[in-house]
Amino acid sequence: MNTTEENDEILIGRYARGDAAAFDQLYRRHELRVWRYLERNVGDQDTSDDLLQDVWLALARNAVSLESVTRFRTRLFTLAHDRMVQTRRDRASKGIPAPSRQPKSDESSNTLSRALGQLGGDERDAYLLHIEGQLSIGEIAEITESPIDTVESRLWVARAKLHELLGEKS
Amino acid sequence: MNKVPPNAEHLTDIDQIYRRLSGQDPGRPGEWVRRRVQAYAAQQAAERAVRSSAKTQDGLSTTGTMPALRAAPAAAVTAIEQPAGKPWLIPAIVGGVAVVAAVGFFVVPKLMGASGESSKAPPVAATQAEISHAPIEEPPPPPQASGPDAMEAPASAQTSAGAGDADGTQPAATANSIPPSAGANSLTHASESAASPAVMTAAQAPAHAPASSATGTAARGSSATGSAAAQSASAQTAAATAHSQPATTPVTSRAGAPTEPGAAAASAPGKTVAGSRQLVAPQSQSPMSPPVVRTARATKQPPVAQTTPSTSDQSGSAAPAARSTPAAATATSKAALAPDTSAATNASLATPASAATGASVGTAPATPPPTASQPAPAVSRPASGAPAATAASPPASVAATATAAPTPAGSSDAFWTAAKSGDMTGLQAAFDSHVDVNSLSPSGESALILAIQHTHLDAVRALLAHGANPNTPDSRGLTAIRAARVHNNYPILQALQHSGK
Repeated sequence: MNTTEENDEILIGRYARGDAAAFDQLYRRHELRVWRYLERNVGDQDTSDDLLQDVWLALARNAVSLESVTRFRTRLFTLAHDRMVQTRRDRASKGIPAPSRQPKSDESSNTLSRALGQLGGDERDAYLLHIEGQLSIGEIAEITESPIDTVESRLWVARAKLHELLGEKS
Repeated sequence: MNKVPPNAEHLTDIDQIYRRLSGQDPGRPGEWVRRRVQAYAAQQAAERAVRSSAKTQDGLSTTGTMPALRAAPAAAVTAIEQPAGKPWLIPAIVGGVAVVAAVGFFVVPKLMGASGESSKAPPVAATQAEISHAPIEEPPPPPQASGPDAMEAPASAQTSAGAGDADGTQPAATANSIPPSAGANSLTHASESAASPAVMTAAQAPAHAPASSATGTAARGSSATGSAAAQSASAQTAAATAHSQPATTPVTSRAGAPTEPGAAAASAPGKTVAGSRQLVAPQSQSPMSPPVVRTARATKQPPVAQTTPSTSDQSGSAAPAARSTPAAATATSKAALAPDTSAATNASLATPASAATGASVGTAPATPPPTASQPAPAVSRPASGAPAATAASPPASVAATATAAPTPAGSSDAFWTAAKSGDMTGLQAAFDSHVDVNSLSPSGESALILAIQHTHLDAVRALLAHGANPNTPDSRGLTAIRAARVHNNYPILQALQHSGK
């Protein structure tokens, strides 16, 4: 993992100096995880695509400032989290209801989507940051601006609920 | 939620289940996102590349002359390194070097031989010898032949010196021209002026024969070092030293070596004496009385700088009779550096003998009037023996003792004893006599700590009410709060906390 993390930082540094191929490599490496984090939080593929695009365009725009970032992945999921939360707030302020989770083509995906949909927003966010972003509790606390104990509690509750929802079926 | 909370293994299993289900999810981001992001990233990268290349070009344009300068040596190096295509190159180079060497060996000695025997001698010696016998009425040298210039061309200076010209010996003549009496004054200006101005100024003055060695110093320092890098520094050093040197002082090593403060001071004795007098001056004004008095009275403005030079003043010429002895000075400086309480304690604990010796110099004036200074030691020493009697005596007698002996030391002893025994009357009497509630006992404990150690809550409260500081450490560094913690006395600890300090 260290090698990967070092490579992430090296790649963003190369891109900041004008190497477009480095950015392609970064994008391919993290695209799916970021998209899953967004999609399973907002429950809508189109919105997730838009958010994904926003995140990566912001990264491409501010790559020079990201050279000094110690962990690229933390910065990446911070951007994704902020945009996801902003979208959620915009919807709430405009009175737009959260989109219903789209039915998936296969049963296992539907099961997972439904289970995640039954978690609370903060619990789901913390769990997805942990499982998709592979972030530590401290990093999640930093991203969500929550105390570490709170993050631990959210993770515990999310796992307990998923255990109840998924454990028996699987 | 689960009725039975899942354990850690179950929670880890959930992560595995999530990963398995997530891997089976065929959902992927739209392809248009990838294309758009990559296109934007490529555009940004291209812009950055253009910007960085522009910066590089700017950097090269600012240093445009450098590549041209570097081109020639590089070409020469490549030509030397690649002789395969040019087999004639190496012999040509070797031949050129040989010709130059031959010219150097055969032509230069002839030229030097024409200037006479003196040129064969070391340049400095020749210069010195000729200068010492040279006629004083030399024409003033041209100003452009300053010290550094002469240093850069020692050979030419040598040859011309043989003919008795002022060309090569200019620095010598200029340095010679400074009379020894002017050394102290010129030293002050030597550092301000560069080497050449100093020499020029001296050259314009009428030349005199003495101080020829200073001349030799300048020339020798330059010719001995010989390196262009060291010339500027050594030139300045040599010029400064040559100005300050007395007439026949050998200064070769000084000129070659970097300037040292000690050497500079030695070269200007008048200035050194003046400097030491300046140091001595404040001390010699009043060596004993006012500062020491203030120090012994535990004011926090002891003129340490005044007491410190008193020891270093031994070599000075200021009145030694008015000076304190080293021991007294040390005692004084100790008292000056000690904190208030310890200084007061030291003063109160001083034996009469020590007061007669040390205090006669520095401590005796500490007591305000001469009449009051007499009973002070007498009271302070018996006071150390007083606690036993005072502790055994009833509180009224303690109060009487405290009032009978109004000196701080006597009242403090009663005060500490009262604090130790929890005698509220004695404490009140001590408070009335304005005793320092934070002062330390001879055993190094404050009254508050004594009261805490003997669990006198009322005494602690009274002391706190009269300004006792629970953070004042005793001689072992123990504070009242820590003492209360050590004794695990919660009411006292609470009282300390309520004191708000």
